[in-house]
Order: sequence, then structure tokens, then C-alpha cells
Amino acid sequence: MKLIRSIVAVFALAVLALPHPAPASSTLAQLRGMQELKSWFNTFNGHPRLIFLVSPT
Amino acid sequence: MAGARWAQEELLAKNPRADVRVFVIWFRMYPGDAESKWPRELLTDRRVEHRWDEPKTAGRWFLTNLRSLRPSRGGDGVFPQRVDALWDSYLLFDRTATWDDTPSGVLSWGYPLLRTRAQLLRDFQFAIANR
Repeated sequence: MKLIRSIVAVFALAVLALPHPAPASSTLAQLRGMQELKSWFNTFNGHPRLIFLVSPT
Repeated sequence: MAGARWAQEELLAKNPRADVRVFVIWFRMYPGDAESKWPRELLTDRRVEHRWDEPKTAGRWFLTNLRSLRPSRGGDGVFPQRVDALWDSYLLFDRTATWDDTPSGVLSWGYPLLRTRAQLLRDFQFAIANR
């Protein structure tokens, strides 16, 4: 029994450690102008940044 | 939306430890486009933020300012014509990029996404490796 508990615990930790997607949001926030984009952009200075401009076509 | 699906599969899923940050701006370009058609199952990675831009503020801004951005690794060269906003496009920036009046550090941009994805993939690999 102790062995099974250990295996389950290791498995659970492994699952938690895996990269996983964010939960899909049910609503789409509105862009609050170019200032919001500029603020996001400067917040992540030090990271490569990628902007997509797309339509739900 | 095929471009967004490609980005999810080829850029983010295949590079789970890349420290890139992604901002996706959705807006209407064709009759029938609507916020309700936003494909929430795409680009669900934690490094991604999504916004709806009803007045196309960002697309209009980039269409107006694209020529002044001067990408260091090349722009697409094919400027979208007869539209009121830059769309179906990407803009990739390096780690040192900052935004005052206009953003600096543009590595490349491309339009449309599927036709320019090879360049995006090359420049994305360059950007995440270049620490």
C-alpha cells in the first residue's frame, strides 16, 4: 500500500510539473487603446515579444 | 485563424520553455467576423494574452506606422493594400525593444501569416536563442 501511495504521489507531482495551457477564458477582454499595448510591451522588456493582428474569419 | 493555429503548434507548443510573450489582437475585417467567433481554443498558452479591438485601433496604428519600424531582419515587403488596418500579420521584437513614440527592436513583420511563417519561424528561433 505504501508503494502505491508513493507511485500516486510521484505521478501527481509529475503531472503538476508539466507545462499546461491556461484555462480558456470565456470572454475576450477589450483592448484599452494603444496605451494598453504599449504598457504590456514595456512590461516585458527583456523578453522577445510577438504581436499578432488577426480576425476571427 | 489558420495562422494562429500554426503559431500555437509550431512556435509555442514546440518551445515550452521559451521566454517569449505574445499579444494577440482580434478584430473584424470581413462581414460576418464577430467577437463571438473568437476561437478561444487557440493560443491558450500562459504566455499569450488576447484582446478584442472593435475600433481596430492597433491594426490602424500599425498600418500607419509600419514603414517607420525598420525591421533588422527584414520586413515582408508586401504592404497590404486597400484595407484600413494591418491584419493577418505578425510583428516580432527582440529582448531589448522598448516603446516610446514607436516600438524599437523590430526583428521582422509579415503579412499574411501563412505566407510569411517561414520567416517568422526563423526569426522566432533567433529571438529566443539570443540571450
